[in-house]
Amino acid sequence: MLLIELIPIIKKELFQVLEQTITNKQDVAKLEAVSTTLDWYKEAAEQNMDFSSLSNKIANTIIDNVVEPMVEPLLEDIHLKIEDGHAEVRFNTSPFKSELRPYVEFVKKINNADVAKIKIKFQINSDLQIKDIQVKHVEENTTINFGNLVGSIGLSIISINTPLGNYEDSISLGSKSFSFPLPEISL
Amino acid sequence: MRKYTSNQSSTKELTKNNVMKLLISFNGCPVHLFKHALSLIAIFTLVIIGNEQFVWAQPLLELAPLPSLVQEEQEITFLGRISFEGQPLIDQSIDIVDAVTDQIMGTTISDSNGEFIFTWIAVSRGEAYYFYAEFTPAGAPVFSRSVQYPVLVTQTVGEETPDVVETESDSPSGENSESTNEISESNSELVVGSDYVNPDVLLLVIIPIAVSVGYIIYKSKRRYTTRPSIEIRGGLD
Repeated sequence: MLLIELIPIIKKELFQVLEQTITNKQDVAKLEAVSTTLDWYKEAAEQNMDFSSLSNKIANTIIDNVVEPMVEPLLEDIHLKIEDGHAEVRFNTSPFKSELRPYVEFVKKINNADVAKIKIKFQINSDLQIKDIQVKHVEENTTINFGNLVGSIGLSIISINTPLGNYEDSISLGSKSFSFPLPEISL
Repeated sequence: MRKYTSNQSSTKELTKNNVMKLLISFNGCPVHLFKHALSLIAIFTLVIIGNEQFVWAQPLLELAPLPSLVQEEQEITFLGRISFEGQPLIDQSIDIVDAVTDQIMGTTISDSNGEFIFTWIAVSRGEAYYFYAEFTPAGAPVFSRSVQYPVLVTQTVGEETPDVVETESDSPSGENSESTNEISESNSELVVGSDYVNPDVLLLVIIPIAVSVGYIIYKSKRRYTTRPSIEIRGGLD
């Protein structure tokens, strides 16, 4: 229940953080893998595709795969607190650190057959905590104000595989601290 | 005395077509070298003399281009000229020959300028003629031939043409009769009824259409196959 309500909001916020991290790193735009991918999009008659649009797609794909493993442990903490049955509680979740390795793969297809692939593997380090959670229980109505999601995310490229060769060195794309409010939900 | 023992090696070298090695493999035997040199000179001499005779002995027979498509009963004029080393050959008999049947369609005589003229009333026969002019001097095996020209004679179909009536009466089914009538009514010059399909005409029409259709299909398929699509996949390692 909490996952369904919170995940889309957290995804939206973290997406902006990630997209800015990738777009601001102009070294990424110079990567051969990126220029090749943009060429593929031109061949596919998607003329409007540029580095910014590509960053958007990359950030979206990463977020889709990392948010749940990053946030789920935090929500489990909240679940436990509700079962305590207090009328009103204010608490923070335990900080949760994670190190995930998502990948984004661009697959060039002709007649539905894969003809070439570019795989970019990332490492995302997160340190997240939900602060100022308030649980209110008034006349059988329980509401949770999730307070703020506070933390930092560090992103780096750890390998790139292209048809022309593999690149194994790590490229740090930077890290970013953030804090954004989460909604209040009635249970 | 030197012993000549290079037969085997010389054969091998010949297969490699390596003249230098062949000469060396003769082990310096002057007799064999001389024999081979003599043979080569003889062959070259024959080729050169033969070539010269061929060129020198043959009169030049020219035939003006013929129309490739004519109607039946149309008059075709064969114009040409025969000369020998630039000088016209006068009063020479020139045959007009159909290469398909080797039939001599007619004979004409060259005038004081070496020019000849022959007219022929076209007769349709269901396939093209391939005409050329030929000159064979009396008592001599040497002859000259002109360039060959294909001529397709098409039948003219009128409403009262007996051939059409015959076609209708010969036709086993009503369908064929109808199709022949349709063509006659539209004043088509070609009879395309089942009994009168001219294979050459069909080839002239069908091949360009088939090539065009094939090219269009090829281009459209090529456009389809060369435009890729990009799919994004993601996951966790």
